[in-house]
Amino acid sequence: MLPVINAKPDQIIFEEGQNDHRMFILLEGSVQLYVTRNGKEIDLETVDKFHFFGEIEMFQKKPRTLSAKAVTNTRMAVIKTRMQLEQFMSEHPQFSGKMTRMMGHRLAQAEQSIA
Amino acid sequence: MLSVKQPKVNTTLQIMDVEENMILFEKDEMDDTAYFLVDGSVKLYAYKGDEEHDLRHVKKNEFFGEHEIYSHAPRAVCARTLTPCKIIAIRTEAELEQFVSENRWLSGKMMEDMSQKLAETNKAIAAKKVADTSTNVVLEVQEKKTDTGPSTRRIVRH
Repeated sequence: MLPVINAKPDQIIFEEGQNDHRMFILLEGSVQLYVTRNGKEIDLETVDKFHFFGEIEMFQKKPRTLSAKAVTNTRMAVIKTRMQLEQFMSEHPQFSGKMTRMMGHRLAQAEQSIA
Repeated sequence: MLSVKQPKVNTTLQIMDVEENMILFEKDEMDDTAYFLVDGSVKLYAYKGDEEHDLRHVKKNEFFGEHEIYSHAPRAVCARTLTPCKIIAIRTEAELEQFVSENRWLSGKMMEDMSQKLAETNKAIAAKKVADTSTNVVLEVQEKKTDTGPSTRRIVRH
């Protein structure tokens, strides 16, 4: 079983530049992904229920490239390491396919928005 | 003894035998098929003028051309077999999802590659949005200038 955490509206889950490689699966609520430039928040994406976020740094092992904060009351399952992710995928074999698909869509959408 | 991993292939997918030097797809083609190389070698390349430039040599147990299954965009590169190959053609997202679910050992590399590209793309989106915000501020000030008569003030946010 993965640990579950809660966040209240506007609560920051992680911030750009932090050394934090956790990945989150959103069980309830929504989360905003953004960057801060010149003191202003620039919205990149809103993540909804049953989607995940924070996976980039789990794979890249680099500081956070963006920040995440809860938009509403939020419940999230937390995956702390690659090993935990592997374990979770072995227990839920369909998840690896779904995660690949979601990442593929996210990438295609992101590329379209800068085209 | 070395064990060589083989992908599990379900009944809807087939392993094709492809001869050496066969073009699988060309730049700008509309083709959403993702390919998985079971055996052999494939070259991804682009043209600069009339010259071919190698971009990547696809190895056994690697995907190629998978991006277009999600983006539905025209092919960005060309692909050709360098040796006789065994290739799985995956034509829908559902087929790809099932193939990855049944061959979980393949998903790690695929996710790593996508996360790298996502990190780069997010950076580009942030830069573009900052630039768009600056343009909007300039336009807003210019509009105000029209409303209130001549002004020398100009705000540009960097």
